[in-house]
Amino acid sequence: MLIHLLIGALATAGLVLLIEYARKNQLRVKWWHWLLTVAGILYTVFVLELIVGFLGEDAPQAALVMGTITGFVAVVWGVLLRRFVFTR
Amino acid sequence: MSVKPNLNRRDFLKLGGLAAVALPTITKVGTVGEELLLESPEAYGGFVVRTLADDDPAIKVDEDIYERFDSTNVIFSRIMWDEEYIEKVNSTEKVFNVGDSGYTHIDAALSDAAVFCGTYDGTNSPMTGSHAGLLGLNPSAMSKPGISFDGRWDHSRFSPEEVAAVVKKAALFLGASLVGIAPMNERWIYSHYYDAIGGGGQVPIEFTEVEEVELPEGQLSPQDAGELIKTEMEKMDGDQIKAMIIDVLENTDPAQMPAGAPPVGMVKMLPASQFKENLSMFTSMPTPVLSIFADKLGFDFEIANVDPGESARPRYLEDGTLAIPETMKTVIVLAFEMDYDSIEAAPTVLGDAGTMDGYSKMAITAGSLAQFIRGLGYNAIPCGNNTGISVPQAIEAGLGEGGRNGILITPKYGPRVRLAKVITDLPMAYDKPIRFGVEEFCEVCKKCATHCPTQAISYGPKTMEPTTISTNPGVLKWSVNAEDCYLGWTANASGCGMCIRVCPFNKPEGWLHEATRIMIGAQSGALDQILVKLDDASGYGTKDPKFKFWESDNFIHIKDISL
Ligand code: SF4
Ligand code: SF4
Repeated sequence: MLIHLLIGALATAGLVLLIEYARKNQLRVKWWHWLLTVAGILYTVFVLELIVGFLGEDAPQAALVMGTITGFVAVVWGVLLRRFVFTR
Repeated sequence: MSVKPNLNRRDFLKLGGLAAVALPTITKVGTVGEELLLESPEAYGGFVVRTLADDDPAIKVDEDIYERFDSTNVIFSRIMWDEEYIEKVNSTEKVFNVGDSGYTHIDAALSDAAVFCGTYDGTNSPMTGSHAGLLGLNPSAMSKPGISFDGRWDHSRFSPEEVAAVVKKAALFLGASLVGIAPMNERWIYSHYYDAIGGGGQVPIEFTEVEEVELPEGQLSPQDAGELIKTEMEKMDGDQIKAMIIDVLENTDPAQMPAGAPPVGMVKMLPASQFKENLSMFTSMPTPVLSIFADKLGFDFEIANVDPGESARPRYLEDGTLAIPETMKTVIVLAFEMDYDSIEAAPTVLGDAGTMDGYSKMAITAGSLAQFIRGLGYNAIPCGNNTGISVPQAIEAGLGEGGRNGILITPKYGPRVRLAKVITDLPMAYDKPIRFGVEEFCEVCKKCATHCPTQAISYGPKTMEPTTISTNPGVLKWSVNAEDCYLGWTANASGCGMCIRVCPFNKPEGWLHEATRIMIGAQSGALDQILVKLDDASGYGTKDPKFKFWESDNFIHIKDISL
């Protein structure tokens, strides 16, 4: 239970930090950029929950394999957002 | 007090409402021609299942070849008579050391305890053909004090679906994980059972006619005599009835008393009112006891030595033949989930504990459900593995599909179930067989064949050819070589279960595997291949053999106190 709260808190903190970062640097982030950002954060939550779920099933190898496959997409998503949206 | 059934339709619908809430909710999500697409997290896990149209047989059978299978040839019977095979079994080397992981003292004690109810008092649900103990045809049990009803449950105002709902609710309450109902298909009933306990060897199982029996002039059937005695006793008060019963118990040879008759000391302690409420016991008493009560009440009729209702009841004939009356047209199939952590320890004694526990559950629940049906005034035969082949009956009852590993694959638990049956003459609605992509998945998967320690599972397509005499020809299926399989069990000194453990359908419950289930439902060979590869890469079924059973959160953390 605690781990799910922690993941939720991390996701929220991540979003708040991004908003702060965009404001401080006066970035012009369009509404659909925010939509993609929120979707990316939700997807990352999914990846973390997947890993936690497999570990809870005592399947560390599954956590590693599925975490790597789905996590790769999350990393690419993050890099693209950094490159094209949250850039000065 | 004897109560007549007086539930009106409104009351019943309330009960039906309760049953609908308590039974797994099944939602129709679409139709394809006559076929329904159904979804139910509780009954089907994350799968969308498709019911088969009436003209689409769930199992393909070649009528020219197929004959009812003789269970003398089931491997558990063969290890009692087949000298050549027994020789092989005896010369099989063990592949473990006592004390190894999965073979410790606590593992062995657990496995032994797990099968306790499955074998207690001659029940023997795992193997033999005869019905005894909890799976007896007419087990003696003292009836619980309370109200009792006469005759059969009057369900004429209720639909067959409502009757089925009541039976399913009772089955789930009594311990089944899944329940399905199929019409009796005689071809799945063994032609013979192997009587190991009675030493009778190969004994027939026959479907018998239900016939009217004419009684000689002046004689009454035991049931009619019992009714007369009961009616007479209804005029007496509780104290008088109690005094008469005590008098009979004190002055009758105990050998003449029915099994389960209470000791006189106990009768003396019971309140008099209870005797008045349980007069219906006289409708099922043995003839000698009825005669004693008839004499005491001053009746001078003779009680016939035949039971006109006998032919409608399942029974053993004098030569040991198991007679199943032709009126028993329904088979209720019960599935019992086996513990996931225990099966993860297959093939070891600890892994076998999950299987053994399944056998105990089979005996308890099938026996109790049969007793429920008898309580409704109908006949019931509770079966474990005996009397009929379980897998095809489970397929016809809509519980799942047959897998490459030769066993039933259910949507919710995969192959991690044990099966039991209750054959009955209580009429009710039947379920339809289902499909959810097992056949297509098994064609590309073959994980069970790869991991089978004795290579007893086929890599090829389904066939009607038997692998050994322990398989019945004429049924299209993947058949396992039971001879090799059992040698594997012998080497483990327990069951095996590796083909259950590694099967990708064997997954714990939860959202993690929902997406996989949806993809399997798509029945695409290419997608199935990717899923099998992912399953392999994720290490499912081939995890580190340091079993987590004794460390599981469901149990005490004994790892902390060092084993
Ligand atoms: S139980 Fe074991 S030996 Fe038998 S078929 Fe399955 S994997 Fe093979
Ligand atoms: S392991 Fe694979 S091939 Fe074997 S029964 Fe399960 S799904 Fe079918």
